[in-house]
Amino acid sequence: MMNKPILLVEDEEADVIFMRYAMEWAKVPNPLVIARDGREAVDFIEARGEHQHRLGPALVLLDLKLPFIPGLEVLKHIRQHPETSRVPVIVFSSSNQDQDVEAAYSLGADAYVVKPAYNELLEVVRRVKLYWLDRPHPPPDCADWDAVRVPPPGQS
Amino acid sequence: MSNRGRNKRTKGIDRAAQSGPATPRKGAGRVAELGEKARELEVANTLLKRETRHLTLELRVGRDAVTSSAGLFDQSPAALMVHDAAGELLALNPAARKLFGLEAASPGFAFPQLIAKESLGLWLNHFRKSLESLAVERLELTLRPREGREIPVEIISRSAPDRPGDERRVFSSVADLTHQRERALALASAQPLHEDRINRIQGMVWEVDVQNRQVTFVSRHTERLLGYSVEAWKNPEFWTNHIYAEDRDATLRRITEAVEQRKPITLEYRVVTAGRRVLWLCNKITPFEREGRLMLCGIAIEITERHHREAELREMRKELERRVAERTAELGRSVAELETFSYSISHDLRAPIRAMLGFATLAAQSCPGRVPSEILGFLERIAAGARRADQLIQDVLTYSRISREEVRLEPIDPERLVRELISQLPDLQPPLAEVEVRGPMPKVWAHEARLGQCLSNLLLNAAKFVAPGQTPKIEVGAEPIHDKVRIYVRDQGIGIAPANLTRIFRMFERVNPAGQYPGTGIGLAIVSRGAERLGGRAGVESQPGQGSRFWLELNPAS
Repeated sequence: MMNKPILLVEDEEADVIFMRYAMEWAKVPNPLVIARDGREAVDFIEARGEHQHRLGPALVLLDLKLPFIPGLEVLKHIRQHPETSRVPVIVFSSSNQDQDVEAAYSLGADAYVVKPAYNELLEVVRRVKLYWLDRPHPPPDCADWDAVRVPPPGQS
Repeated sequence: MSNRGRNKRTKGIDRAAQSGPATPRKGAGRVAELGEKARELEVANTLLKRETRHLTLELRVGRDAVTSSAGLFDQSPAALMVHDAAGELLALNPAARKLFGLEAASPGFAFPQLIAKESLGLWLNHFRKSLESLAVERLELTLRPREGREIPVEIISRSAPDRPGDERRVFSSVADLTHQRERALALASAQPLHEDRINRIQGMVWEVDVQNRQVTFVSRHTERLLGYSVEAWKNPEFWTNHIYAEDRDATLRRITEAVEQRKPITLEYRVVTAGRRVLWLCNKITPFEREGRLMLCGIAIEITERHHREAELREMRKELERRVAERTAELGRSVAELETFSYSISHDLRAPIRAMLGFATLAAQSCPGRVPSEILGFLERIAAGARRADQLIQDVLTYSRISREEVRLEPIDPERLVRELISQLPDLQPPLAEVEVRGPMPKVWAHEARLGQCLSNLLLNAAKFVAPGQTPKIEVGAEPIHDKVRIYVRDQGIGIAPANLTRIFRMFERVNPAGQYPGTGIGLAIVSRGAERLGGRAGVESQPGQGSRFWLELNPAS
């Protein structure tokens, strides 16, 4: 588990840089694999092309608005592929629209986070490490994590 | 009294007495003889008179009920007469005398005297038939009781014997038809006037016998309007055949229904004129019964022009609906575009702002302790600018979403909501602020998220607009105002000048320098719009330097 990579699906260069810094700051030990569009993400998930010999990811951080294949479509592939069907997926999106949140959760996302400013990102990543990497699963009721995520519709 | 009959009988007896054996005598003896004879005769005469009266009575009334029938004969208002088989008049009652213009005693009168020569045959024929059959015979005649006077009469006769085996007599009643004729004449002369009126009406007045579909009347206007002669309508199929083929079945079906239910109806249908033009008619039809026969009558007027105008109107309405649909679709597209626009603003516009803010922060942190403070200041300005731009975008999006989104109202407890909001807003926690919630508050019709947004904006404003260094003191409560509930947020802050009281609820309006009290100038616009969407309104009372009291007026949910 220690060496399993974290897949970051993100086309925005600035957000990739912020995530790298935040991971370094939070001392996340896993290597970061970047997919810059939906197609690349699906290739990685399904271990195709240059990702033939990849290690299954420990965690996926998924943006929704992506070139070629939208994030929600990528999420479906993740859930359909036997190797990744149970991998935690945290959606990182600049959208806080209800329909996006609802769609993400209904397609099997484990959490939904609205992209924060850099300072807050550090805190988010710290908690991602704590609840999604250091432990097998997040506690069902965790106020510390709830403070940074958007809850599924119907929960508050 | 039938004097005539008695006279006649008396005469007959006189004759018999005269023709009896008489022995001629002479002198006093003869005188005495004659005197005796006269006395005898007188006695006989008296007896005969008595018998005659008796017979006459019997004659008049038949065998039974002697006295009452005699009275009936004399008192009857109908003229009655009796003839014997030879045509000799036997009796005449007073009503008959009066009708015939006879004096009380009119010797030698015979009924045929009253009849014009050319009609005598009719009377004789009638009389003969009455005698021969037992049936009642009728005859209409004109009597001329005197010069220049004519009486139309109906004679009803029947013959019967006085006693079984006796000779038959003819009993007749004579009815004066003068009044009846006059009435018929008056009626006959009134008819054309009536028809003339109906024929002048600018509408087709008609009547049909339902059983045989026979048109029993159509007014002249029909001729003028449709070009068919009034006579043409006498053909039973004509009136159904002239209905325009497409309308025929429905029209006849509805007429049948009206007949069955005996209810008047108004039908609009097309007819074909003699000149092959198609006209629209409005026909008001009434079923009715006359002497046991089911009839329809009605009046039809032409409404072709009205129909064309209605068709035009329908066309225009269709066009209007088409345009409305078009505009609605356009509007729908605009709304969809606006939503796409909002969506891309929240994604694409905010991404670079987040990048600016992120890199400014990263830069400031990159070489701890080695970045000149001047540079740090610049970086801080970049970050602050980015934060403000981001907030502005978020507020505009919120405002547009509030204006656009449908909300479903439900009863909300404002006190619970206020307490939850306060616990979630760090700026309202002690020691940063003192907030007092005055409960309980009545439930209001609202939408949780919208009301929460309005209240948190008011609470944050109350915490923000205080003199520097002062701790905000805020009071939240609710009170009934007329039939509404006012939720208020009172502060002891800087207050608002009267001139600015309405301005502050407008978009981007700021009344304080941004440097002193940061904000986008959208917060209160969101509150005002939000309250409207909840079916209420927002307002404020304030005195500069003495704090403000913002309120939301909503509908109570109890």
